[in-house]
Formats: sequence, structure tokens, C-alpha cells
Amino acid sequence: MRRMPTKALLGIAVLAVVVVCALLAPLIAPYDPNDQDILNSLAPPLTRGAEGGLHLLGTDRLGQDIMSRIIYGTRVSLIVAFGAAGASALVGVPLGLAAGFLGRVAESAVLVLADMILSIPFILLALVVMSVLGASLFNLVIAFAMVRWAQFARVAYALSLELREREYVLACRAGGVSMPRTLLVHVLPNMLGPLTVIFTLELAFAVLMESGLSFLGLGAPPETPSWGGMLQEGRDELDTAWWLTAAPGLAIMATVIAWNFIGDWVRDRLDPRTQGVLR
Amino acid sequence: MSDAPVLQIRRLSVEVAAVGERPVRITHAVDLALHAGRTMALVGESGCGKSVTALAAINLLSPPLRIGDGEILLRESGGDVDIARLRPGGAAMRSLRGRRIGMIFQDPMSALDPVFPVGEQIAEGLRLHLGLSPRAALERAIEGLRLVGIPAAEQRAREYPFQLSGGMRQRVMIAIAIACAPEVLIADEPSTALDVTVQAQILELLRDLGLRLGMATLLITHDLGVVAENADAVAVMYRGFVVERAPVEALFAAPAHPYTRGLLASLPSLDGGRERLRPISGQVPPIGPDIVGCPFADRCAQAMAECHRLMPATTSLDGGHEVACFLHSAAVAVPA
Repeated sequence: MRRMPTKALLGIAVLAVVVVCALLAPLIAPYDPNDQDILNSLAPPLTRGAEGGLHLLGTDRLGQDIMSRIIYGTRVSLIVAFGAAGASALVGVPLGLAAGFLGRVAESAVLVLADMILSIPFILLALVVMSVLGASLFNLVIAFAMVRWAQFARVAYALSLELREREYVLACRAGGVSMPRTLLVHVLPNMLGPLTVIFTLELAFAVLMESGLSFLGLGAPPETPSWGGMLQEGRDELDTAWWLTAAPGLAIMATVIAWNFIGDWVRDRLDPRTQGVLR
Repeated sequence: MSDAPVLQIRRLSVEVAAVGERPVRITHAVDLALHAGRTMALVGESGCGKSVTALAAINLLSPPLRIGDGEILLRESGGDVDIARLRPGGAAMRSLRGRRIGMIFQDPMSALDPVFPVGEQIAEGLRLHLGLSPRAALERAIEGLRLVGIPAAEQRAREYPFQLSGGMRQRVMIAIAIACAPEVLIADEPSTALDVTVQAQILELLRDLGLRLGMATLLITHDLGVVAENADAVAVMYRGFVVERAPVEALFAAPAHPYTRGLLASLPSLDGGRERLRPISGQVPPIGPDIVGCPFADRCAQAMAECHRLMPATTSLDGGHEVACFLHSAAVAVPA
């Protein structure tokens, strides 16, 4: 085993913090995220609160502690990001493989559908889905999967075009390996590198779009603290209270960069050529 | 050695069936018989239908190619199985591929899965077809690597394809193909992508394995030198037709079809002096819907009027030598 690159360690460290925050939010957060302290509204970072506690990152318009809301926000962020990207991949990758390997009818059907969906702005489609299904985190994930599968399908299809010409796919079948097994065991692993990269991009995309939908009132329910929602709440105070947007903004940025570092590392690990010949 | 062929291909034709178009035949009534322990070579230039015939033999043609008609009979105790009648993706066909018919491909660089160690790739077939446990399958895989002459097999089994040389990878391919001890081995240009010195080793290995394991081998090649050294019998293909079929010695001693003669004349000889090579003039006619007469007639120096009108049927000469040419007196036209 080679030593893990610094970037990967950094990414994993940040993600570990996010995961721990999400799991242990009630223990870590200094305040209840929905506790209002109107006297202390819009307090800048490091202000003492009414009960003498420290507001490390300040408070918002309702006097809610930003630090605590950021910590609780990791839950929404993780659920939406992984739920959305995971569900999209789960739908999109099999469809992309089918388009690549199962003949012309499947190919045309999947590609035409994907093109149609990708040609409509995401937020519009998601709005329709969300207003039909109602605002909840689960429905948010459904909305993502219904739209973003097309991204995964297109990438998986493009990779199949290359892989299906490789002789080893034919060789597998000449060895009596069934088509589903060939796809699952021999084709899919050879796609994981690029798909991982798409997955990390989708994670970032999901966080951003969740904030957009929250702003329009169709994302996470308003009482649930989410980074996207906080960004939108802070938008009006951008010139007077910068910490309202800076804190969730930095949280989103750090998380997205962490995912990207991890994605790069996973891609390198999955490619046998980049693993040292000498072990 | 019993005389009944293990695999018999009878009047097999392959066609291109594009959607909404009339299917076009690209090989016509190919007859081949493979016998245990013996090697049959299928020779011809690029695009003559060699590889397509090989893929058809294990029912692996992918659309728009498909088997037009004919039989592919695999010998079985309770009567022969006709592979041409099996569903290409069906379980019955899959249980034959790799288990009873092994296949080796041309390019060892791309015919191995890059993300698995080679030992596991050999073991996969053993697990699927023989139901071995992963551990037992891996042990058999290591034995297989030894059998194909790979030194330090235990260590090599854990390595990935990119860590092996071209010749080594081709040996791994062979180990995969013969892992389940198939009765038939189809080798599609197994040595073309390799260095000349490695080529000879690989072909010798195939020959040796064929004899030792009693496999019937179909060796597809465009190289007559390879045929002379490594085959027992030869079938010469030209534009989708088998034009001549003979034991190796007979073919090289007395080639009967003008195309075969042309091929032999275009080879440099080692014993003779320096002489100008005589290429066959003209080009292979393109695959088209209609073939009238002998496909070689336009390039043939001895073509007669009837060659342009009628396709000669296969005539038997002495000693298992067969040829489809009007130059041989008994030849008659194929009924259209």
C-alpha cells in the first residue's frame, strides 16, 4: 500500500467532520438551532448571548445561533447530496448500460429521453416535481433522481460505446459469461473512475440546487436548518451581516472540495495503471 | 482417435441483416469438420469471412450479423447439438461457451479485463462452469498458468494484465480458453499481434496443448507459413467461400485452386534464389448482394467463360483433397 496522498487525507478529514456533525448534532451544537434570541439578532461572530454563551459564528435575523444551524445543516446537506446523487446513479447507470449494450431500440429510447430532460432547465423540472409531490427531503431526492439520472445515463452510455468495442467484453461472452454478469462484473468496474467523478460533481450540484429550491420554498421544509436555506436567508443582509452567508458558503465550499479530492483519489485507486507495480 | 468430428460445420452462411434491407450473405455454405487432437487451419485474406465464421461457430455474432442457415453440430453422447439453432444469449448456449468450446482472440492487449488480476479471470470460468469454490478455482487457475508455460505462476496470478508482456498475456488468454478443458478450441489469429519469435512459441504451445488435451483446434490465420507448421488440414477461404480444403502436405505439394496457387506463389521461398514475388493481380471484390459465377474469376488467369456465369461445386480429388474449380474435370455448377 502506498501512502495516501495529502489531498485525499484532507478530503476524508473534512468529510469525517461533516459526518460526525450530522450524526452527533445534538451533542456538538452549542444551542438548539431553532432557539430564537431576538435581543441578539444579527449579532456578529464571537458575541456573548443572553445566557452568557458564545455565538461563535454570530446569529441570524431571529437570533438563532449560526454555528448550531451549520452543524444541523450537515444532516440535510448529506441526506440530499448522497440521496440525490445515489438515486440518480442507481437509475441512470443501468439505463446507460442498457443503451450501450442492449441494441438499438433501448439506445434510442434512453438517449432521446435523456436529451429531452437535459434540455429543460433542472430547476424548472424540479419545481414541477416538488409542487406535485410536496416539499420534503425524501421528495427532494425523488425529484433529483427523476431528472439527474440523465447525466449518469449519458456518461455510462458514452463509456459503454468505448468498452463494448474492447475485445475482453467479447471474450467474456465467449467464455460463457452471461450478459448481465458481464456488464456488472467486467464493464461496470471499468467505468467506476469516470462515474465517481460525475458522482462528486452531482453531490456538489445537489447541494447548490437544494439551496435554490429551498429559496423558492420547495426544498427542505423551512424549519429544518439547511445550508442552502441559510444562504438564501442571509442574502438580504449581505451588506450588513456578511457572516449569514459566509458561514454556510464556506461550509458548502469545504464539503464540495472535500468530495472532489476524494473523487480524484478513488479514481486513481481504481485504475490499476496508477497503482505502483511494486507493492 | 475416432474419426467422427467433434465439431462439424455444415453449409454455414452468415448474413448482414440491416434494418429494413434485404439480408446480404457474406459467407456461403462453409463446411468444416474439426477432429479431436487435430488442428484445422482456416486461411484467407482480410475480409474473406474467417473471423465471422469463427464467431458464428460459438453463436456470438452481434447484429447486424447473424447466422443465415446451416448447421453447427457439436458431438454429444445423446446426439449432436446444433449450435446454430440455440438462442445466442440463452443459458444452453452459454453453458457451451468456455465449457466445451474455448476461444482465443487476436489482440491480447485488449482481450483481458484491466481491473482484475489474471488469476481471477481464469478462475471465473471455472467457478461459472464447474461450480468450484473461489479458492479451488484459483488453485486450478494457477495450474492452468503453469500448463501454458508461465513461470512463477502463483505470483503472476495476482498480477494485472498491464504488468504482463504481450506473449505472456496471450498465454493467459490460452489459459482462460482451456481452463475448463473444452473439446474445441477456436484461435482467431492468435499470433498476429505478437513478435515473430513469440509467435512461434505461442503456436507451438497451442499445437502441443491440442495434442496433449485432445482438443480439436480451429486455427484462423492469414499466414500460410503458420499453416504449414502448425496445422493438419487447411481450408482456404476466398470472399466467403471455402475454395479448397486439403491435408497440409497435399495442399503445399499440389495446390489445386488457382487462388491457393496464387497465394503460394506470392510467398518468398527460403531455398530458392532471389526471384521476383508474383502477387495476385486485382483486388478482392467488395461484398455485394449478387455473386454470379466463381468469386475469383475476375482475378484468375485461367478463368473460362463458364467461371463468370456459374459457381463450381466442390469436387473431391485424391486423399481428402477438395476444390471448387472448373479446372478439375469432374466439377459441376452449384445448383442455383
